[in-house]
Amino acid sequence: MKYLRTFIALLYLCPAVAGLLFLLAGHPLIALVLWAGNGVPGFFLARSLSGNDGPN
Amino acid sequence: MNEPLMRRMSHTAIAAAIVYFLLPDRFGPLPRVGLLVAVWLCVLGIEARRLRAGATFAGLRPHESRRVASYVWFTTGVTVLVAGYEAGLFEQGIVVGTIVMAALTDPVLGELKPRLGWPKAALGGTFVATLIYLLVFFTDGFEAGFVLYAVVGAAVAVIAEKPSLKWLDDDLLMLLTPVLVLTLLALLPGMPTAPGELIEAWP
Repeated sequence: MKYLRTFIALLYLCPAVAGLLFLLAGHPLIALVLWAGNGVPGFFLARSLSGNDGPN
Repeated sequence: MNEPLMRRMSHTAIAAAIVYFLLPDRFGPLPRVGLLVAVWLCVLGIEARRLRAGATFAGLRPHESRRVASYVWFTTGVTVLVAGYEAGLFEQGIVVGTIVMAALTDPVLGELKPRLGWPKAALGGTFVATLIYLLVFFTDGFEAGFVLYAVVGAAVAVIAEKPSLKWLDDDLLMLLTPVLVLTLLALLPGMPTAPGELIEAWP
């Protein structure tokens, strides 16, 4: 479970950091796509981990 | 834990691979593509160990215990496209747009297909893929000609996702097919200019 939490944290962190780097590089649209694209499944995954099941 | 959601999120997170294009051209004597190849070889090593053990981990399907997992196909596709870009074969905009589009659209199709069936899911997936392409292509400003590349690339990617082949994963096909088709399209006479250098590397 410890490794799973680390893995999930990395899944959240990688696109978040990549989006921030693109924002700093002057590409807000790419930052938006990275954040939104990962945010939607991330939201539902967080809900399922807290006991409320998302879609599926 | 919701395993399908875990798979979706593992897939969408790979879109972060485009951060490669922000990297400086060289790390001392090593060109940046060398870093990518090193990551790819690490992935192959991890996969070889996993297959020998017949194991799966979070985000993989049970049947992937005995076959090459989708993340390996996707990493291979990204490595081929980036190497092709560095060799001057592919335009940067097409490669960046396709990596992000494939990483985000495959999970969308995975959610839509069981709910809507193939034709409707394909239409929805093509719409989403077109939108993603456009957001990436327009990062340097609006260019009407890019719309054609976005629509064609999206349609080709969704069609490439359909076949179910044991030894050729849809993750690889969704990356390679649109880039090849869009590159050939750009070579045709009278076609608008393809999305080229959108992202400048940090010095």
